[in-house]
Amino acid sequence: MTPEEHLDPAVTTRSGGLESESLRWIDATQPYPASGLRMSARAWDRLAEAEGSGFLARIRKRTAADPELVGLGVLDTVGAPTEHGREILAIRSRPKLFLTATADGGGRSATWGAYFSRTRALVCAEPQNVSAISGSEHDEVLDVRLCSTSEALGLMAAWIGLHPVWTFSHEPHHGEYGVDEIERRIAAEGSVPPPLPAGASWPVSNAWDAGQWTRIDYGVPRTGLQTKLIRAGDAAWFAPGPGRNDTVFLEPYAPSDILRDILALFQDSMATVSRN
Amino acid sequence: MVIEALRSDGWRTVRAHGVRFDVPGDWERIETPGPSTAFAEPEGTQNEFRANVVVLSRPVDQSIAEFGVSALQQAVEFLAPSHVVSHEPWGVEEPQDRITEFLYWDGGVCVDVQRWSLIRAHRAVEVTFSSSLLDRLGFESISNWIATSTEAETT
Repeated sequence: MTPEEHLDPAVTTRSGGLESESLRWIDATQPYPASGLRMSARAWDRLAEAEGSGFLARIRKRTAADPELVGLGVLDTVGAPTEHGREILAIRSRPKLFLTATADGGGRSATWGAYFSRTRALVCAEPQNVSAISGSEHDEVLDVRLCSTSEALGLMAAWIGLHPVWTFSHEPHHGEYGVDEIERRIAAEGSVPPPLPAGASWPVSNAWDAGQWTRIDYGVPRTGLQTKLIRAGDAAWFAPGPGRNDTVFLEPYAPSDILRDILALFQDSMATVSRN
Repeated sequence: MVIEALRSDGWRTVRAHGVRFDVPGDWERIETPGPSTAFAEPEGTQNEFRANVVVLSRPVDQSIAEFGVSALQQAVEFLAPSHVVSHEPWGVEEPQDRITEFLYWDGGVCVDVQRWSLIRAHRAVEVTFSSSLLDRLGFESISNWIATSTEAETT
């Protein structure tokens, strides 16, 4: 990267001339770190029915997904879970906590879930619209991984596409937008945004054509703790909240605060579940 | 040369390679090569990764923006699979320094790394704090204080 290329001219100007390095190249360098088991949705559903390694498992009716599960090493050749399969099933069927996230944007939707036991986690991520896994041929493929609690939380940060941005406040009275305007921006494919809303603030203007806008919700259903975010391409993160007169207020949200929020939400939920 | 002074408030003042910074008094110094100084939390805790801080100092030869780009490139090109989370202005009075945060996965642990890129007097100083992602919030006040306390030695 040359000295000229390392600066973001728009952010430098916005910062009153303080040199500000470009951050927008980073997002494209870090897709979801997929290295778990690649499994069809059909096989994932079938695996849930395979719990129990005794006689019942061996007389259970075979399905078309069985050869795939045998190939992945989670079922044996007679249809019973292997040791690895039993570990997956134990966490999946009796989790202490379940953390889920959804991403919606550009007509695509994806979900991510992590089942936590006391010491281990099972992560199940569908192909997402926020990173490099795309294309219809992957639509039914899940990434399933047995890992530690810290690995699972890190994967969630990666999965929602958490990445660095420069975070600026709106100019006074310019943070509210029509609900329809923001819904249309999220629904649009990243390269074809609708017209920029009149009077848009600098953070919204800067991010409007910066790639796919994606609505991301994550939370723990059992405790009701949840967070709603908008990933504004590779240029901003916003926390949407109610504005005046049926508008939506887009609160600029720094990525470091999002990571804190994920960790706090997990720890608070664990504490709540442990008390109950 | 590394000079350490234990204080009555439980912290230790460290002077090394042209900078001065604080670390918790019970942290253990780890031998490191070159112009860096490292400390790690006491052994025997229940944490899955031993939290540590490495302070690296050298004469400054670049702007804070160039320093920030170097930090980002090191994070992206980290030896283990990594993911850069944030890169933000940082500073107690004027936020002209940088803090870069990234994750890496190694040995069954996701490690959170916070790297402050500071320019103090005529020195470029990197303060790199690493802990398990699970311990990230618990160590926040300690890591922030280490970075906040870091100053160039003027004598």
